[in-house]
Amino acid sequence: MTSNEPLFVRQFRFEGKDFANAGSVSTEVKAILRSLGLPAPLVRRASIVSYEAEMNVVIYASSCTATLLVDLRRIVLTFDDRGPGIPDIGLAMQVGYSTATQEIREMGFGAGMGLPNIQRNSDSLDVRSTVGHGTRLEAVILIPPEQAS
Amino acid sequence: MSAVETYRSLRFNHDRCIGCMTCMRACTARSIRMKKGYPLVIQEKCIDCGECIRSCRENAITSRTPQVVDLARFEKIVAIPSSPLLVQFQPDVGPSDVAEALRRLGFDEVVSLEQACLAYLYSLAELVLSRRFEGPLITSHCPTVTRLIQTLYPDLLGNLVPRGPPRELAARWVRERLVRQTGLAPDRIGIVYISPCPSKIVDTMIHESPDGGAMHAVLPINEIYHEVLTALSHMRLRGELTREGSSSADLGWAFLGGMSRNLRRMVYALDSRSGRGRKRKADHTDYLPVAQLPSVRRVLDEIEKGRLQHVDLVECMACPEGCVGGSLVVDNPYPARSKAIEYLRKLPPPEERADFPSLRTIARSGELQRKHDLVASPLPPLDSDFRRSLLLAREKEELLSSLPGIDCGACGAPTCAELADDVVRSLASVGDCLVLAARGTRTARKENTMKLAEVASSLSLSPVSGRQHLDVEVAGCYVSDLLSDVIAHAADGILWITLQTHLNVVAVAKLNNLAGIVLVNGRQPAADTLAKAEEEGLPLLTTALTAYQVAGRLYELGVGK
Repeated sequence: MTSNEPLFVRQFRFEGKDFANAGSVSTEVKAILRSLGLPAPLVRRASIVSYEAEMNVVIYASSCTATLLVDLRRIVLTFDDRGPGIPDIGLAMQVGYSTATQEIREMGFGAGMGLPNIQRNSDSLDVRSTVGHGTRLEAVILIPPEQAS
Repeated sequence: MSAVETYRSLRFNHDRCIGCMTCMRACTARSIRMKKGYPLVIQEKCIDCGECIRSCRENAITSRTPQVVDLARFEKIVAIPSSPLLVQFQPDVGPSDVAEALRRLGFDEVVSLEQACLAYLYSLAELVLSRRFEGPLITSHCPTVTRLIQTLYPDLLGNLVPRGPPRELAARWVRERLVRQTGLAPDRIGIVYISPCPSKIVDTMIHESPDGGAMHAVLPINEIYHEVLTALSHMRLRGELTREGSSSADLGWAFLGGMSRNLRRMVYALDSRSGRGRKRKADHTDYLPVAQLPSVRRVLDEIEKGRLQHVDLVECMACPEGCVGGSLVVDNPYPARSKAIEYLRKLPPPEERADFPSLRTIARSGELQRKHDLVASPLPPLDSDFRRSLLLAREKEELLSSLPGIDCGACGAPTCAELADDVVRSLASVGDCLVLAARGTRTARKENTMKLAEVASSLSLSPVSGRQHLDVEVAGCYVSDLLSDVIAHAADGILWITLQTHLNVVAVAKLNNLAGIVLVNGRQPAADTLAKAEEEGLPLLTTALTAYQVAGRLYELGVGK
């Protein structure tokens, strides 16, 4: 990226277990991407990615710093949490695999769709985790070149 | 002649308006701004919810009645009262009395929505049982809800029930019947809907067309209320619920949950008539009635995120308690709702009065299909060019971080975030923020000052505006291209060095009472920037030097040291 390319960055900080405010990051992400005039399907994908990532934090972790970065070529969503971490990322990526408690499932979450859904809606996804410390998730959605021209 | 401004369905009476900003704060779509002391509506944002009408303590906001209400030009005039009108009056006044009162007011016919509501319920019951839809269906007869979805939830357009509202169907039917019976031309028959809310007025105005339009005019309930009351006082009240043989189909539309209740009954009736002995589908059908925009938005947010998949139909109403709580309704919504519930209990349920074979024929005929496709009308992006949008979004963030964040509204925008958005869209100026303006006049050290004219000549800067103010004393200099940073750090009498040339630099300079602005790297001010600077008497100076060079020279001159 050359230095004079425009770049938008917004950070969000939020807490785990805060079900009352769950979804507010993705609502905000959606509003920002719309105001940029990005096409609806792209906005929808980014909104799903951020919602699922946000819900993962709310269900499992204690706090998180999320970053939305947009430049002419891509949308990058980063969720950096403090929490229990994921022992086996490969397993967590499988559809239907979940470690959610019964209570969480009764609320309609924890169906084991979160990470697979994030993967399906991203062009690239990087998940790194340290058990007992936290997880960092970085999802990239590419912006078609005709948009930037 | 009083000063009146009209926007969409709204009329703002400037003689009554005291500029209190209550409507601006009440607006759910944040579409109102205060300009020159009066409300201004950003029409693309307005969703016709009527909260401003409800909130105004001075009665300065009313709904706009279409000018086509020149009823004299019609041979026959038909009233279609919305169901909330039927439950507006004392307990001894029945819907049949209200209909009679309307006839006495000069309507040739008063048409009930009953048959259209039955047809709608039947067709919707078929759709629900078909299970041929993804995610919950969302009712589309509240025009504020459909407009909310068009502007903010375009992804959910496909969930909207693809049926026109019963009022349109009823109007078409009565026109066709009267044309047949009287031989009059369709445009000689005036059809007047009596509406509980401004959104249905807009809906009718927008969709009115010589041939396809259903209604000729819409009267707000509160404008006809008094006349109806007077007519009622001259009548012997019969207190009858409604005409012989009709059901509760129409009244179900008056309040939140009434339509779902009637639909549930219709779904059961249809499911059991299908003869396959499976009542299972009807048992497992979930309805979710929801009213008032904050709750509606919460539910729409959830649907958009793929939640609420177990729900089959969301009955969405913008007003408290549904249409009985409409902003043009006179009676308190709660007694009206109680009355409607009472009627609903007493009247035969819709399936008992439904002629299923003929309802099926109507459903198959496609008559119920929405005549006007609902298309997305999202709010415009910051700029049509993506690159510019990105720059503006960043500028907006930056600006927002420098605004006080207390949403006082004194600038004329409802929130600081809306002001920041307006500023980057060139609809407002940072200088509108009174809190910043009050904070802005910090005093700089007034030592080692130098006249701007002297600075200009020693550095060979070219003044392009505000030449009459070159005798101002320069107290120092500040180099920055971030507006928020300048607002926070550049004080009185400072010469600002920047490469930003857009309009907002003028506002920031005036806000902080700066001595002037030096535009570096050979940049020229944008035309609107130049005009504004000239108007404000703000010196703009251009130079081919870099920011580093200008600051260095000023430092050498000892300015502000």
